[in-house]
Amino acid sequence: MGRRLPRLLLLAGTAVLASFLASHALPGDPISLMVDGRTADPDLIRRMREDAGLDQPLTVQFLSYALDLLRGDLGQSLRYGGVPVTALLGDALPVTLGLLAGAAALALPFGLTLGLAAADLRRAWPGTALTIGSVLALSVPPLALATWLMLAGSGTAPWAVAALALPAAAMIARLTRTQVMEVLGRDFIRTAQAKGLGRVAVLLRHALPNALVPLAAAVGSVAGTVLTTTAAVETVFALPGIGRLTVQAVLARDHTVAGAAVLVFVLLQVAISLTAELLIGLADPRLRDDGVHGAGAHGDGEPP
Amino acid sequence: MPLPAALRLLLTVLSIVTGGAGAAFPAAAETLRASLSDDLTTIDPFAFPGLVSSGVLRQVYEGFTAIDAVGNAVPALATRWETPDGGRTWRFTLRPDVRFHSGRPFTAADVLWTWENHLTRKPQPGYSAFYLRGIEGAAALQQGTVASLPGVAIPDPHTLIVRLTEPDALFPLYPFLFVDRGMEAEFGPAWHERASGGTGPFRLTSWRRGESVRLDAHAAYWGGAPAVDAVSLAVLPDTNTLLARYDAGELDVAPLPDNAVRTVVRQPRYDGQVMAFARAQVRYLALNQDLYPPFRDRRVREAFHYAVDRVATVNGLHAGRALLTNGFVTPGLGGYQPDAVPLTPTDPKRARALLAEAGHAGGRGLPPLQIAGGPNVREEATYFAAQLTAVLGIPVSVRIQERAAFVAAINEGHEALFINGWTADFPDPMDQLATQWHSASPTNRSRWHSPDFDRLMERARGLADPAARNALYRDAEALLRDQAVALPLPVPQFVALVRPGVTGLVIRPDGTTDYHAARLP
Repeated sequence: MGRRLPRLLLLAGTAVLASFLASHALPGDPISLMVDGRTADPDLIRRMREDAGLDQPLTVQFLSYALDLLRGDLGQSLRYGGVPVTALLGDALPVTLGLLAGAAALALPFGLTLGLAAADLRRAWPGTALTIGSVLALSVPPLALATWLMLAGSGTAPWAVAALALPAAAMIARLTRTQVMEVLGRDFIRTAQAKGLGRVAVLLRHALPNALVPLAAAVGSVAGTVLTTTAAVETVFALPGIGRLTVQAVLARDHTVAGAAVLVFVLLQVAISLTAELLIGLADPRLRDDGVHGAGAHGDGEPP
Repeated sequence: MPLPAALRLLLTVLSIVTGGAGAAFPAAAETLRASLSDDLTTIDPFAFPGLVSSGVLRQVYEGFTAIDAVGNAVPALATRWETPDGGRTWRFTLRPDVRFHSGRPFTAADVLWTWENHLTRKPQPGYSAFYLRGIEGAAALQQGTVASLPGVAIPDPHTLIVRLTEPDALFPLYPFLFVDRGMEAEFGPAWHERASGGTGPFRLTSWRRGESVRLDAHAAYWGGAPAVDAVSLAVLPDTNTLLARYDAGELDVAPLPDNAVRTVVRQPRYDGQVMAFARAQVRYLALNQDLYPPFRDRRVREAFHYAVDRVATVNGLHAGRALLTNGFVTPGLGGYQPDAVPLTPTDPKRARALLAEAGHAGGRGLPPLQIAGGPNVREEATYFAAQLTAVLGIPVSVRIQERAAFVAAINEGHEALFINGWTADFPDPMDQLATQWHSASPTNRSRWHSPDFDRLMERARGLADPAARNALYRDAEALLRDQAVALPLPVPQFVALVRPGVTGLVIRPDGTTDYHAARLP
């Protein structure tokens, strides 16, 4: 993990600068968008553009932004006339974290339960139905799912949580099913069954704990997917989180906010990956030093 | 994370868990719930406010005059405005019984303070500095060579005399927002973040960026207290979200974006809930003669006029919620002349003949064209492009760009054929004629130049009598029509879904919604 951190920070820096350059390369600027072609003093517009540094060559703007960023200065919003970017992020972040927490609270128990059930009932029709259902839930584009749920549920926040949680639960269910089925095929499970242990006890006491380590690694990437989906969900449900802030900043050519919001996304993703690795390391000391590979790459843990 | 953010996180989680997400839109008994198509950019009445912000700030702050429901200038904070010398000197009589939201009385000293603050603000002057540049001494005050505005005299607290360097008949109509001069002393330079400093029917009590705005009724408003206690405005840029909220009964008023009108008004479930209002907007298909040389021949421009069927678009594209005009001044503005000149009829034969006369029979020798526009004119542009191709034989395609990119392109003169519009900033045809067609205007996007037209505009600016001005505007419009400078297009109305039983709501021609007389069932 120690070797990984500088690489992740480099990744974060590259992502934010790429976002800054991308939004800068678009035609139009925040001042002309604010004015929207209405009568305004051309001199005032010129001064506003100068104040925002938009009259400078792109390379100069880029360097000054990068230097500010290295100093920890995220700058000011262009669209909101000088409001610190940190204030906007401070308002938006809790909304996104609240959504993510709500989605995790729903998706984890549901996904695990459904996955266990699907693994246990794999040869019966309910297991097949669960598997087909999860494939369907995963196949629907998140934007379409969010829009359907928004239209069905009048756009309130619990439905936004559902829009995030549903595909996440499906992903977790599929991963759980795969892992648990893999464990169920091993010798120690047959031993446990031979000793007369009940189905539920075998599942909960033997199969699930052995599937948890690879699952934790996979849930990290599920969380990453959910994070990127928040942009669509927040936009559709008009929730003022980081995702919607990013979309609106790009549309309004608010370069400083767009860059900083992307940085927050990258840092959240990095935090999720590191947390997942940390938890796996705690759960399975053998994996602490050499990192964790994708789900299913290992699973040869001995029975407890 | 600072404490308020932590608290907000807790509240968000709680509201999600308990299902009480409606908390962002409190539905108190007497709160009117409406929406905004975008977030405000500022609540500072001195900064350049942009379209959405100015729509909200006009509920809070007022100027000398206001626009009524049909687009005429009506008295607001001034009861009378007179000029003895054709617009060079203006004497304003201020309404005597006006109180700011703070309770302080509104006087001529507040007008002067507002203006001086606009001119001397750092790092940028306020947006009104543009309208104040004609006052004697304005430039000197900006440069710091004088300490106050010498062109303004205050003989008594409710009279203001303004001397201009040149006659300006439109001065009383400019969109000023007068501010309580006690606010800065009481709350500091960022006072507008903490308190409401206007005289309007509503006080601005909260703005949650990207989320909502709350306006509370000003009980001591000179025009009488509003009928509702408050207005809550949710920021809802997405049409589907807007309609879902309206359908769920969470909004009393849902103003519709133009490109949603056609599908929404045809749904029977909205019968009796659709309200339409005139819009002071001019729209046209612009022909840039600099960029596309064939447009320099009037016969080519006329051929375009005869080739397209504009009548069909009123019902076909706007579901009847649009007004067909043949001019460059719109309904919803004083000076608009309905039926002044009949619309050029569609006449494909004549169009082809004119094109042939210009040496381009069947479109021969004409380079391909694209109709450019923002996302909301996609269907209109496609329809016109198909007609132009079919009738004239010129390959015409469509280029739809994201709004910011499109506005940047036409401002830089990079489009030859495009759909443009202009909504009036103040209630006088000057705002639609001079901004679009005067050769010195930075927003003359089709780059058309005519010294005769420029002279008409400059003469009109010095005529204080609206009737005399309107006569010149008619001449100017006749000149534009005679030269076939552009194809006037139907002007969409402002359309809103309004919950049954909600009455008194007015969308003014400039696009600001008047909530003052609105009543809930």
